[in-house]
Amino acid sequence: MSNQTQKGCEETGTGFEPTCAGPVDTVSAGATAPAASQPRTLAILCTLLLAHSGMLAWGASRQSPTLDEPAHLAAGMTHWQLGRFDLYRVNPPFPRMIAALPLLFAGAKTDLHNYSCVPGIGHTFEVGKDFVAANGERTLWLVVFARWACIPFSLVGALACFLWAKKMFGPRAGLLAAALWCFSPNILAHGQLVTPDIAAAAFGLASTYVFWNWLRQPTWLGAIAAGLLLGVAELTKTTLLLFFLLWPLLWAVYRLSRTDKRFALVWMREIGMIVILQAVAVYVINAGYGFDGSCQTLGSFYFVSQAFAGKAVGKEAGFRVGVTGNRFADSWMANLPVPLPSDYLLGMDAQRRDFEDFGRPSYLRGKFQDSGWWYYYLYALTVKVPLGIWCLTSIAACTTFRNCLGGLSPGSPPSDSQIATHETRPKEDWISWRDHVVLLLPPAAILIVVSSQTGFSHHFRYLLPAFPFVFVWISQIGQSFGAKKSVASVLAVCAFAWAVASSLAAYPHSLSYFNELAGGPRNGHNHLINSNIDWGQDLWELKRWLKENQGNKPLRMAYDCYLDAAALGLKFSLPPRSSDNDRRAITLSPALYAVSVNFLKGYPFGLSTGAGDMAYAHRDDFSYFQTLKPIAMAGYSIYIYEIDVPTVVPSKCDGRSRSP
Amino acid sequence: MNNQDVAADGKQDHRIPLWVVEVGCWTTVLLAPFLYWVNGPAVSTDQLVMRIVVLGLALLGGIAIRSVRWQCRRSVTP
Repeated sequence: MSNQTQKGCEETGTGFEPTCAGPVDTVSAGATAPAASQPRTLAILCTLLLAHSGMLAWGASRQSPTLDEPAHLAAGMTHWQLGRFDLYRVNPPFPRMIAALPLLFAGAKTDLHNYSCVPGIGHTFEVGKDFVAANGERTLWLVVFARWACIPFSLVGALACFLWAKKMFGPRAGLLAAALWCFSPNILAHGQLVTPDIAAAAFGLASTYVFWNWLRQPTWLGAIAAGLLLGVAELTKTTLLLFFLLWPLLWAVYRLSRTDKRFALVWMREIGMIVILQAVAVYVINAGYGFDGSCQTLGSFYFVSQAFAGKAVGKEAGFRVGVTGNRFADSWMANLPVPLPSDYLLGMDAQRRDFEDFGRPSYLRGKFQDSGWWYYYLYALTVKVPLGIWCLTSIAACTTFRNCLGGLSPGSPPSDSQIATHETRPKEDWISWRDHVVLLLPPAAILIVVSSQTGFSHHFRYLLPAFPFVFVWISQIGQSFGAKKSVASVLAVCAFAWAVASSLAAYPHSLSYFNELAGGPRNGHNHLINSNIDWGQDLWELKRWLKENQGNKPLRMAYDCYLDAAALGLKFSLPPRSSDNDRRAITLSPALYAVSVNFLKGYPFGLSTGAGDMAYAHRDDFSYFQTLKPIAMAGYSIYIYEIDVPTVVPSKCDGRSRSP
Repeated sequence: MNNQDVAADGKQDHRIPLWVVEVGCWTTVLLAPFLYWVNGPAVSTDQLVMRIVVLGLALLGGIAIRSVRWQCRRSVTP
């Protein structure tokens, strides 16, 4: 790291430290750290990874299956057992294939009588429900094994954060980036589940890191490595398809200030490398599907979304199930071979269809509406990200801004005195504004793409692939954690401690985490619902509570998950629904009542009746419970009420959300 | 990075100084009542255990590091 200050920065120890993250001022920590501190750095890193794995493993064993997980597992098993990828097309298969691996050896049963690959007829979740029914209470341990199999994805993410931050800003920054990943409540929440979001975040970052290395030292081998990782990343979530456009853009930005006289030759060579990189990525995607349906002509597909099928489906056609079309069939594009597996393209089509007509309302700050909001994810960021991380982001922004004002123009060489006092590091290790662009453009692009999909707004987790880039960028502050204190460095340490403490205060209920600005997890439902707080994960917590407190009281439960809770070992019946009573006052008989917070807020969804079949909760069917005071909570997503004597409650609260 | 981050062999010292850990520990201890006020009591045994462990480690860590630094200061001062 440089000991020199930039022009305009003072080493007073009282203001912001010159952080060496500005244009050209620093030599990156790509240079070797002293031998004494390397084992220490590795020891701390290993401790972080161990603690993170432990938290994921423990949390995974304490939570009941969430809404999506059985469907993912059933689909994963069909991939291995049948070699088919059409059951759960919306997401690529890689994460669930890894998750399903232990189940192949554990003798898990699948019931595929509801299996259908007819476009537009989504039986994925029916098969997931059948999976739970077929395995009964054993489902818990099968899901736990599958979750444990997914922990390495999160470790990949932590390692990628460490390596990139270390190379860019130094070993301390590397440790800070890894710690931000390991203790982030959103990473902890989804890292312990069988869902593709963490895998997408991890491989999205890892592949871009390798690409960044290629940008700094373009080699054919580097391009192939980047292509391989990009292909793997594309097999986690289709959101990352935008990297096919983003990476060439980043390359163009990175090369803008090149003054090499042979730039035309160099550019042509690198363009060739990018073509190879993308070709390798496409090859890996096809290999991930076993080349099933690869290079099928565009005109031969049966699409269900208006974007791909045209007006034959869509709003004017009433979004009828089973109706398909193909807007390319009568055009010159009909005979074009699609260089992707057919199920990959059909998955994009299915996802598009969901955004065009999801069929269920979206919720934000007490309000339901049929479509989403463009600012949903921005709002979710303010309530779901620890405030300590916001402080760190502000400090990092100030640091970068101050360095930009430091007087050195991008790309200019350091002064002789700077060179004299630097450690000897090659020029290619110097960090410039272009490296910050590589770090910040992907999360910005992900936020824009995700926010633009306003068909529905349900899941903050769609933004997870953006997180690790920001962690690496924030970690530049770690350079200031030196022997000499400054106001900025002390503030940064306090902010980091705040972020970690806030996150661990909610663990293992990290899925329901909301920051202090939102009023904590207890008030989270006033801001967001669905998988942001209640994904069906607290059924075991309810079971544990009932074991100690139920006694002889009957249980009446409205549990927001289409899975049959009776198959998971609970005896219960449904509470009365407002819609069954013509919205008149409801009489509650003496019993214990357990209500999922999604239903409490009025969300319409299917639920099990306790008699082996399913029912449907209409809007506000159970929101009358808001007029009652709960006696306990199971996690933060199930409220428990005790009714000792027959009680009459109004069927509808006055329309305003009340905190129970 | 400042000029004092130089190890005995003249190279950059990338170790994490003790003051960073100490400030982190005391910050956690000071924030505990505020976080309890915002988040409320634990809703499960696991959560209660985690909170106690984190607070305990932060308290012990803060006290231990403070003691070590005082000892160092006393041994240095004549």
